[in-house]
Amino acid sequence: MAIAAAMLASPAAETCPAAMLTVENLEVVYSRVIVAVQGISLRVPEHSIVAVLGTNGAGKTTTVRAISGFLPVDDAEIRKGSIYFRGQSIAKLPPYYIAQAGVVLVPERRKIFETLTVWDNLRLARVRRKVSSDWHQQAERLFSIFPALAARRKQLAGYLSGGERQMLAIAQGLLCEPRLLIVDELSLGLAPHLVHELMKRIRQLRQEFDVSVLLIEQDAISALEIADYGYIMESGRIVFEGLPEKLRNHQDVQEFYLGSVGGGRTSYRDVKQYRRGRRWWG
Amino acid sequence: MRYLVSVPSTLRTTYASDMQLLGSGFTKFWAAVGLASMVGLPLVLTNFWTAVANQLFIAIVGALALNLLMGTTGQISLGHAGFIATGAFTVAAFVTHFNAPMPVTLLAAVVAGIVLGILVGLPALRLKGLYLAVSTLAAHFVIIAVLGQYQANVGYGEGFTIPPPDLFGWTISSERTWYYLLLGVTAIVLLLNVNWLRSAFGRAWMAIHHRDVAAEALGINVARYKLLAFSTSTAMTCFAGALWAYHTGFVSVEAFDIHMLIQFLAMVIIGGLGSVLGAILGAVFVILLPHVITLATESLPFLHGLGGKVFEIQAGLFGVIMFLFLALEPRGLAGIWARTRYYFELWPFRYRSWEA
Amino acid sequence: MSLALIILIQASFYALLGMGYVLIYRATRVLNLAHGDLMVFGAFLFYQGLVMTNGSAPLAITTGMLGAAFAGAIIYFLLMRPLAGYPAAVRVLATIALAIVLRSLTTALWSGQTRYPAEYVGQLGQAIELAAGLSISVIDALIIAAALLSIVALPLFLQRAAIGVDMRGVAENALLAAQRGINIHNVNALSWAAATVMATIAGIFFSLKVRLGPDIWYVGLAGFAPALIGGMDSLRGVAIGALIVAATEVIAARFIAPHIALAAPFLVLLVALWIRPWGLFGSREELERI
Repeated sequence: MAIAAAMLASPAAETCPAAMLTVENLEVVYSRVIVAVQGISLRVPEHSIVAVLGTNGAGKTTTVRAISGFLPVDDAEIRKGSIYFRGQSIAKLPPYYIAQAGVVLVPERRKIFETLTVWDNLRLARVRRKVSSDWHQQAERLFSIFPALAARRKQLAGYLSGGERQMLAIAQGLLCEPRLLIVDELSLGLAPHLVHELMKRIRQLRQEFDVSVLLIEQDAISALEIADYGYIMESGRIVFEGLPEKLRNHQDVQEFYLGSVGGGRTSYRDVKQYRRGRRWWG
Repeated sequence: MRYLVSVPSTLRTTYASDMQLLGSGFTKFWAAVGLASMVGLPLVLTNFWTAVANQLFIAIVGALALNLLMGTTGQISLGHAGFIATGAFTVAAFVTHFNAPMPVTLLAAVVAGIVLGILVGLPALRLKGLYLAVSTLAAHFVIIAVLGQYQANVGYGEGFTIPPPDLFGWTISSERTWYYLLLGVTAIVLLLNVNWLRSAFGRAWMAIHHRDVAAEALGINVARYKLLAFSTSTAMTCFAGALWAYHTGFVSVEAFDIHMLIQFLAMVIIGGLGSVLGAILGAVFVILLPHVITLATESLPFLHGLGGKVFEIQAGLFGVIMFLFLALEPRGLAGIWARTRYYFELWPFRYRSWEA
Repeated sequence: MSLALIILIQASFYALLGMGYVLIYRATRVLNLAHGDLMVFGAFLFYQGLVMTNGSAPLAITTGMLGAAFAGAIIYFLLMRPLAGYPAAVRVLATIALAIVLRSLTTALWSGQTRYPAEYVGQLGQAIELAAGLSISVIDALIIAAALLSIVALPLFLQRAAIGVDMRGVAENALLAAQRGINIHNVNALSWAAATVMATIAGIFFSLKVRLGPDIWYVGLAGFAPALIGGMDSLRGVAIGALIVAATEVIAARFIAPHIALAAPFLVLLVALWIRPWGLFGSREELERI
């Protein structure tokens, strides 16, 4: 946490020592006309969990796609800004280079191979061509953290439940030996107690596998429980950022993201106008 | 000036005016010019090129049919050559066995097409995409085998000669007479197509193309409309086959091979799937390409040596062009036309604003 | 030769072809309608090898297969890679375009004449004595052996080998595979090279046993029927499908009419799809995925 606070004070991206991932003034454009991300900057320090919160359409998934190299698939491109991972620019590299460099994405949808068994799903994720004994050790550790997967080793992944799929996706991502794991919408479609469980596991994984986590979430409450630092995105911009207590105590965050009622606004029109006018000046 | 500048569609004020095919003075004027030039064309063309134009008309009917099935309704059909063969052989059978006049044989071909369409369409209710494509391809081979057997038994293996038809007392034998008949017929088929696509049928077909599950949920009887699409398309195709039989004068099963299928596929792909204009442009491209290649090999000196290999060059070029269109311009020639028109309509602006 | 043996040999040939189709389908979700033309192209490469090495079969086979592998990889990079994100229907149409180009290329390079590679290689017609007074020629025995080998080896490869699992993963979700560090283009190129080699093997057998000419692509195309009947995602099914198709074809040729026999594979396919649209051994989920 102290690292995170110190992070924000330091100026330059490439020279900042403790930042693993640095995104600086990123602008992403779809089909050459639609600006989805309008100049955002964020940092993920070593060994920390950073949450990016926001509703649908805020531009979170676009940011994540830009980081992991999948923009060309959707006819999008990075028009401005930079993305540095451990000092190396990864902005326009092909996805498998970025994955091999250590940035692994657990996507929002279609996150596992449904026609393969659980075991084959995990086998696919390996950094080198041969499955080393090291890999076997990692796999066993993951099975001990996610016992539900161990029980279903030979089952087709397509038949797993939502929570098990998410566990498999995370385990698969971790077997690629990432330095940064990006998890997009972990909580989507999962029961609340499962989300709680998975969030605890993520914290455990951060310790055991020595990996930083970038968490993209709509479920702000759960995410802020484990995050070291948080950003809030709206309409392609980062409108607020800070340590979790600061976010939790802010009135507007409470109203728009944490579900508390307040502010005297009763109709949606009032809310929209308030948010537009406010522009998050503090 | 009214006739040279198109009126934007936001200025329509009644439903009736919105639904008009030729809405503004601009479209009326240029449609009249087009019609006049089509009618006057045989007067300037040689007999050879009039025959090419006649082939083009028949090809347009076939391409419109394939476009209806593949482009609008999204059902991949690789059995087109077999359907054309069915139409041609229906004519051959009726002429050989019953000496039937042309209107009767044409009607028989259409009926045969409807029946065949339902037969081929029934599996389509259970199959999608790849499996549908393959079953239509299999249907093609089965049809050709059956017709081949028929030809061997009845036509002494050589094929059927079709004498020039009589229509209301006129014998249609010269290319010029064929031209006017085919011009009229093609125009009617074209109007029918355009009308279907603007109607409830067209909307239902397009809905099935995009998301048939959602279409079913919205109350569209997907099974009924799929069968309708198949039978309409096959009926049109058999009709084209019947016209082909009369125009060529000779029907033999070898003419309806995979090459014919590929030509029709090329027409709809290069022209652009899903648009009537695309089918027409694609047909023009495919029919004229061999002639262009022949002209090129004859006139350009360094290509002289390739003169003997026109067929291979044409076939190879086809494949390459088809691929280029698939990869680069999925909306085909019609897409290129639409983009060019869009560019000139909006110039000097580049994009339409959200409000328009 | 007894009818059963003829059917077995024909079924083996269809099984070899069918497995090439299934391999490409399981690896790239594309039904390669150019497989027949790849077969002809590869067989002509083999023939060219025979001519240039003056009849040395092993060398010719090696050059044929190497050339085929190379061609398959090139075809992937030039044809399929640009169409990477496009729907499967578009990619199937692209294989039709490939078929056209291959056919004209083959005719342009080697002219439309029929060739008989068996003239260069010696003792293929020789009979091997089997039990019960049956005998089988060398080439036929080789065909059966090759088919049996593929039926056993290919499924094992796709199930167990690391590259096999990679191929299946890339086929299902190429994006995810790329995110997991797999070089999807290399994997796909390998699949195409392997399938082309399988087509070439079938082509070599056919050209040695019967003849070699640009028109035999039809035989190669008919090979997709057993693959589909068996269910495109089951290699076991290909063997059964091949037996059914071969039996129908041989019996039709012997007892009904030759014209109909040509269309036998497709007739069986239509009937099979009517009864079970996802193939005899395929899984129901396959049908929705297309």
